[in-house]
Amino acid sequence: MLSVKNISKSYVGHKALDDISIDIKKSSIFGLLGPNGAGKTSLIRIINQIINQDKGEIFLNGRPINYDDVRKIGYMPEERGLYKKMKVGDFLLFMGKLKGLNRNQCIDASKYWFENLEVSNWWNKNIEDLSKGMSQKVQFISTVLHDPDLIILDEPFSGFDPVNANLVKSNLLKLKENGKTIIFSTHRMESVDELCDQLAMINNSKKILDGDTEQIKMKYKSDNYLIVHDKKLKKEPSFSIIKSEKVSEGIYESEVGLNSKKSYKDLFKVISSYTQIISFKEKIPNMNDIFIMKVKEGGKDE
Amino acid sequence: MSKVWIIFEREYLQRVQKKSFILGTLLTPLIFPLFIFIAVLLIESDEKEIRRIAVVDKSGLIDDSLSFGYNNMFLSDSDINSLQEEILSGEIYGALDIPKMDIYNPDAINFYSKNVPSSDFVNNMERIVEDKIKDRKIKELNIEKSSLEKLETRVDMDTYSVEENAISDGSEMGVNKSSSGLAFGLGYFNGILIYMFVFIYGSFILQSVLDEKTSKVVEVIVSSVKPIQLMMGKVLGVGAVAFTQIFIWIILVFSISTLTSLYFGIDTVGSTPIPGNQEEIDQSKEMVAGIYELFSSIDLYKTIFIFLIYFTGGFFLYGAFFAAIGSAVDNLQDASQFTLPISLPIIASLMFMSVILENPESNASIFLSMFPFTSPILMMARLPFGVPDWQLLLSILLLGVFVLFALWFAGRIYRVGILTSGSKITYKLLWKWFVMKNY
Repeated sequence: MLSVKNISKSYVGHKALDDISIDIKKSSIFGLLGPNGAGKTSLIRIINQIINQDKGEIFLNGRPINYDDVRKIGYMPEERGLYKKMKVGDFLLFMGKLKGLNRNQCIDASKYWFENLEVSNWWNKNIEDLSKGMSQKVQFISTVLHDPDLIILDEPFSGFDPVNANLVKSNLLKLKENGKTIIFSTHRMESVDELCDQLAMINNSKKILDGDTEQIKMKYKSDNYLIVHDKKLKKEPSFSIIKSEKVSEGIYESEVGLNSKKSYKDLFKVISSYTQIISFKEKIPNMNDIFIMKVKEGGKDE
Repeated sequence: MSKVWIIFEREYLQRVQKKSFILGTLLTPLIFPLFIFIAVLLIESDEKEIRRIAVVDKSGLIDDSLSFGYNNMFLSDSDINSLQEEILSGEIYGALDIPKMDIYNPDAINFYSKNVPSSDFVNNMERIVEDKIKDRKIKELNIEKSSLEKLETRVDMDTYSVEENAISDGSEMGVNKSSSGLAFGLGYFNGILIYMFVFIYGSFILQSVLDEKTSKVVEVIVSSVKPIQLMMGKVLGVGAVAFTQIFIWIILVFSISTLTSLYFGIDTVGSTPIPGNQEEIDQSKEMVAGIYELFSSIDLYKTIFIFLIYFTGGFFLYGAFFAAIGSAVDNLQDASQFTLPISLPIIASLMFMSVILENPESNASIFLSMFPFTSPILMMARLPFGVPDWQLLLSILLLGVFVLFALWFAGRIYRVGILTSGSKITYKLLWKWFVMKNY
């Protein structure tokens, strides 16, 4: 649906984006990952045409993106504020009108989202009386008010407590089911595994990794296994014990790495011969681990 | 265009619904008369106290007790040096010392007091002594007082401005009664009004842009609106608030002045006039009629129309710069180093105003009323004295061109500024933003 092709951007003094290309499928959730200052916000601003790229192009549905397309995007910036002196309803009306809605459409959509985000009717509340989490919800509502097909969220979960973050996550999944495409950025990479279908990692203005979330995880899994068992492990040539500790009487937690040419079946067989296995699972790296791994590789490949 | 309207609408409605706007708009026209009222009250209460002034007259000029205002003068036989005690204790306000002297070459007339007397007071004293010396001279030179009075002539000249379009028939010149005093006053008033509005509302724009930037609401908005649209909507919105305020003030001032004149009119007729004061009343009525005649000589609609043009031009010219500054800085403290150079032409205009009003047709006046950064204030100051149409048109044209340039310039700074926080803003950086092609 959205293709970013060879985008580069320099500011006065430093390079923010260096030849970035990504492809985003329709009806999916795309995660843009990277530490603070990596260039995520610059890329998002370029997609939204808030700033212009130096090089490269953005395509939406196969043709270059134009200003009318951008107007239809639902965009929630990282640094998001509200007019303190306004009422929630007036603000939503204002934002809705800027997106081309009329008054009644704004009111209906606000009602729908008030219910979805489990908030009472805030229409007449003063914005300056809202807590931070409440403001974030108003921000989110103003982003999706006009039912956009493409939603771009810059650091959407910062500022939310875990309960509300989950509420937003479930709403994002619901939006995806309804055929919407969602792009979001985050620097907290460990929290996105379950949410995004595809992702790209950006570090120091360069893309260091992208693709399907599951495939990336499979590719970067370390062949380590997490095992909970009841007797101390013995050293064997076929595997190496990375760590093993006694949690309580008769319960050990261990991380074990396979040596070459051995499968987890061999490992299971060997260990289960002298200890009872309570749980046995493959250690799947989270995105943070993968990111650190990629940064350590330091651009040796790709 | 409709987006500019949405921005405009929000900016306007938010501002005019504020309590501070409503109170300020309604109370300001009342505050000025109130100040004047209080000042008059204070002066009156002040002067009620009767001052005693000792006159030590060695020349025998003053032969009886004199008084002016609340000052009573009395002849004193004491030596002037012995009055120190009485002056310091406040028993007498001061002492006038007239030594023995040649009346054709009066010298060494001194006044002694504890506090420095007002210039008005000194003038009064001088006039009294001058009159007395004159009387003495008349006597000594044997001049008939009546023939002297016949020599005194008083001429009141009325000034008329010759109008092209007021020619009624061939026999008479088409003229309008004019008054340089009124022109001066009106010019000053116009200039000050524009100065006030450009400054106050210019800083409103700055504040508003800065608020949006610091509260981070701006990025949400620029995803749906082009920065230049946002800036235009904002400048227009604040400008419309200023217009609203002017409009309400004009209505208020008109209705208040009508009401007060009605009230006083009824008062003077209703209460029994003090006998002998009839002449005074007639005089003041004549004066009021004269003022009305003068005002009717001014083309009020033309003045208001041109005022609105210069008001709009001046507001947009400076408003654009204030918007650019607001977008560039991170807080109000940083803004001051950039608002100062921008404010300089406005402040300078105010200082040049007296020059213009003294000499409205000098080259300097013509230049300053053309130069776009000073013309909104200074052309308005010149206007009541009569300005050739071509100068007016050229000045407005130049202002228009500069307004467009200022908006374009400000827009280029603004688009970068509103999204850039935390960098140290210098003129060099602003220039880089201005010339930046892709942002």
